[in-house]
Amino acid sequence: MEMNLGSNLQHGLRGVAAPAELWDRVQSIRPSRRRALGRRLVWALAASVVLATLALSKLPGGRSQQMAFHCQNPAQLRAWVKANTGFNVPLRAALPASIQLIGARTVEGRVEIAYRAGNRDAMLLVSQADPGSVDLAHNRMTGKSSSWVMDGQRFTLACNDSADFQLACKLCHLD
Amino acid sequence: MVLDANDPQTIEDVIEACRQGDTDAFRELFEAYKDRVYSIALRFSGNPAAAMDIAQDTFLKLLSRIGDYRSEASFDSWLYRLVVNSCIDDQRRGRRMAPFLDGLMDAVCGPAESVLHKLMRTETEQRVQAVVAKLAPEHKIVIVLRYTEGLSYDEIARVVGCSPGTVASRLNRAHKILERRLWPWK
Repeated sequence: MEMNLGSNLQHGLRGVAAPAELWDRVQSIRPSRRRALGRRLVWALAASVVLATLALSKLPGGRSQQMAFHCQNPAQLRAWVKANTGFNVPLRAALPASIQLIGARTVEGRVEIAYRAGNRDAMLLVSQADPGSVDLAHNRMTGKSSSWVMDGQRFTLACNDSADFQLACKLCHLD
Repeated sequence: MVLDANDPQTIEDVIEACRQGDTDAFRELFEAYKDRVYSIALRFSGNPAAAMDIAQDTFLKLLSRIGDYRSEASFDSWLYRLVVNSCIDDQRRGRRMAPFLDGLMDAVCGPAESVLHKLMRTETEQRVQAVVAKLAPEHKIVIVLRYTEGLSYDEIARVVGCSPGTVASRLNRAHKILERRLWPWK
């Protein structure tokens, strides 16, 4: 090896071209694009369509305006959700490194919180529960989405894989 | 249209369009800066998979925080700060630094007459990358910005948020560590 530090560093650390798939990766999870989220999480939305329809019909006046908030801070996002929907989502004050918030949006009476659990996408949907609904335990989850009621709110957690649930739960729960 | 990253007015126009949610403008920014962002991420992490994650994270941050950018500062410096922060975040997450195997495989699979030469070059590059990867983050980032991006001390200082004197000190310290590790017999 030539003992010239500068030239070795310039050569060994030279710039490289970004892989072509980088754009696809950025594009695929851009939170502000309905199309991108819809494509990746179409199954999650399908699973919750019944819940969303029910929630729509129960919300006084309904909320047809869609708003989006890109935020990685759980406290700020929780406050935004509370201010814009009235829902109280018990996000952890400090998220573990494996959980990365992307943002939230309101869609016709429900709120969708998009985040990354490990290397995969996850989404928590919150809507108004039916009157008289009783709280349901949600410590056992199967499939790609699971729904439960808590404090008058219906929660639906959707993951790309059922194996991700344990990790995805850390959005709100301690390890 | 190819964005001229050296034209401040063009950059400002594209950034403003980006703030308004113009997808084409974001694509222009991405195309103009993707190689730089990825290169820093790769040289800092030493791992192509991690570099993709860091670059992806950086561009998502760019998109979500473009409203925070103030035109009195250099956009390049602002973007470099996003990359540096993503690199540090990634390292804090404790990602394993994998050795570069791709280059070695390319060399072995190359034409017979150049295999030895390529292997030697690849070995040198890998050694440099390996010793850089073991530097402390504050030393590693100044080395990467200096040698991957060719930034001046002043530019590095603006990105990292310290004085040019501190940059010089860190580079000097990093050089000594690298020399000792690359050529222990020297």
